[in-house]
Amino acid sequence: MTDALVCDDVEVHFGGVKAVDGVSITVAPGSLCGLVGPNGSGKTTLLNAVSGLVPLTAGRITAHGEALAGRPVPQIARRGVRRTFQAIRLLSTLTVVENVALGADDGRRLFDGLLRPRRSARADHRSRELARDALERVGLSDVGDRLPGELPYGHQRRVEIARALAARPRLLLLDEPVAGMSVEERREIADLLLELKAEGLTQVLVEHDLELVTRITDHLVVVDFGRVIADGDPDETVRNEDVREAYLGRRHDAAGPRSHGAVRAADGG
Amino acid sequence: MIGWFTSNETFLLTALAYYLVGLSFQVVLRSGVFSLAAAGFWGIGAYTSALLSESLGWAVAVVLALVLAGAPALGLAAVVARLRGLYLGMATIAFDLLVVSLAYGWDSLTGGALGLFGIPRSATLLSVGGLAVVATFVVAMLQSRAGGRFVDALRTDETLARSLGIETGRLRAATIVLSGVLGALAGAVTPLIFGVLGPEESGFPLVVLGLTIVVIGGSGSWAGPAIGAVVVTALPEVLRGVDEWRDVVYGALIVLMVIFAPSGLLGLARSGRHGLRRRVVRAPVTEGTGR
Repeated sequence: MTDALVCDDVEVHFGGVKAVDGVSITVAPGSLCGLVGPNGSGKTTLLNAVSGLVPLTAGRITAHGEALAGRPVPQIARRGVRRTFQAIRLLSTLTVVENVALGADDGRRLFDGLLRPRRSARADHRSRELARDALERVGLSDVGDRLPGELPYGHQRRVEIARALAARPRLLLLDEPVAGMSVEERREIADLLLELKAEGLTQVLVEHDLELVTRITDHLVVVDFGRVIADGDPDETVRNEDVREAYLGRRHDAAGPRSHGAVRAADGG
Repeated sequence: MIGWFTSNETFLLTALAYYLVGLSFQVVLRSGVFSLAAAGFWGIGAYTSALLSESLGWAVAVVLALVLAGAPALGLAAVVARLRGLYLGMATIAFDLLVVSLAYGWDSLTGGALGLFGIPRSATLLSVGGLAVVATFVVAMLQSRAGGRFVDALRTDETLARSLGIETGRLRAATIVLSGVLGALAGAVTPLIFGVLGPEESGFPLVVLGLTIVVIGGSGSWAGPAIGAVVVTALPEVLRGVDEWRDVVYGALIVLMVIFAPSGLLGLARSGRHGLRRRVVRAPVTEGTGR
């Protein structure tokens, strides 16, 4: 079976800044892959590269065997690669169900409303149906007619996930979907992601909450300074010394010889 | 009823022409594609119909006006494809001014600064009204269902729109062309209403007029410019006694609208309805929406 996502030696440079500096990742179909790393380590840039929002400096990206790099953003989205964003990006003037329906709409059929009104009516009906299903999926079946601004923050984040799901994606990229949520809400979203995995949806999850990530992912990639510093089984990966160092910082020498990090720091000079 | 229509024919025709100007800017403001070129295309449409309506008849002249505006609109859309926001506004205003200087300079065709006189006043409520209905139909259908969601997404968040699979490049180009053709239609009917056409009528003042109509009425749908056009046409009548204060009243009105009703009278009506429904049907939302 072809891999759901392959990043092959991907580099994204902004001027002199190497935001992503030679990252190779393989995500198996149906798996839930965690992508973690400190702030500014290149996680979001990598997601942006996969969805086509930033051009690659070097490397290749393929999803389900098809090359993505170099394709325009809308084409990549229509190939079933959908994402959520770190910040909430809902249209405040549209109702919740319309926001989600946008995920299911065919973005090539710009003028159907005038040129093929019957087809556009059918497509609209279908989009709204998919939108309601997706909203039900994320546990928001009764707020479709509200405006997003009327919903609490955690529900707005669910609407974002629903919009991605309404497209019935083959690969879902989630950029910190539980940021700012309560413990209870985090658990619910985690359960949702596990359900989606059980249904065979491939997911890449960028998240800072290591406890949550190690609990639900079956493959964890840790990046720092635009490079992969660990890749493998989640539990083993978080015990990796390089990972602890990247996350917790190097201990000061005064911490004593017990600190592996301090020794490494001293060795590195 | 019919008597009222005939005695107010000029008022209604003016309102219809203003409505078409407003519609060409509604298309722009709703999609956030800040092309202000409709004023330039208004000029192309106006001179075309003014010059050709006598020999070819108004219908053929209007169709020719749309074609002669549509072709350069396609070219303009390609040229400004990479421009956004203020830069797009500046570039398209430059196009408007180019048309104005052509109107002044091309004496033999346009009559230069004096303009054109004695154009047959062949506009009727039926013909202009019919054209307005067709234009409304086109805009309303394009902005219906997914089409409406697409332009709203383009205005609010182009990056998001692209990542949802929307072909924003084509949508931007189509918006510029549609706005231009609607502007040309407004221009084509205007000299047929008043019988005269001068070079000062298009250009920047027309941009201000179009934006005023949409700011007052709202950009949410075709109904916005319809409301705005009636208000802007009626204002001079209302302010007849205080003529010298007219521009001040206009200015104050726009400032007040922008501050207190940024989505226009249409938006005001909609949010009033929505708020009422919410109060009647739903319990208030108690949880905060911030982080």
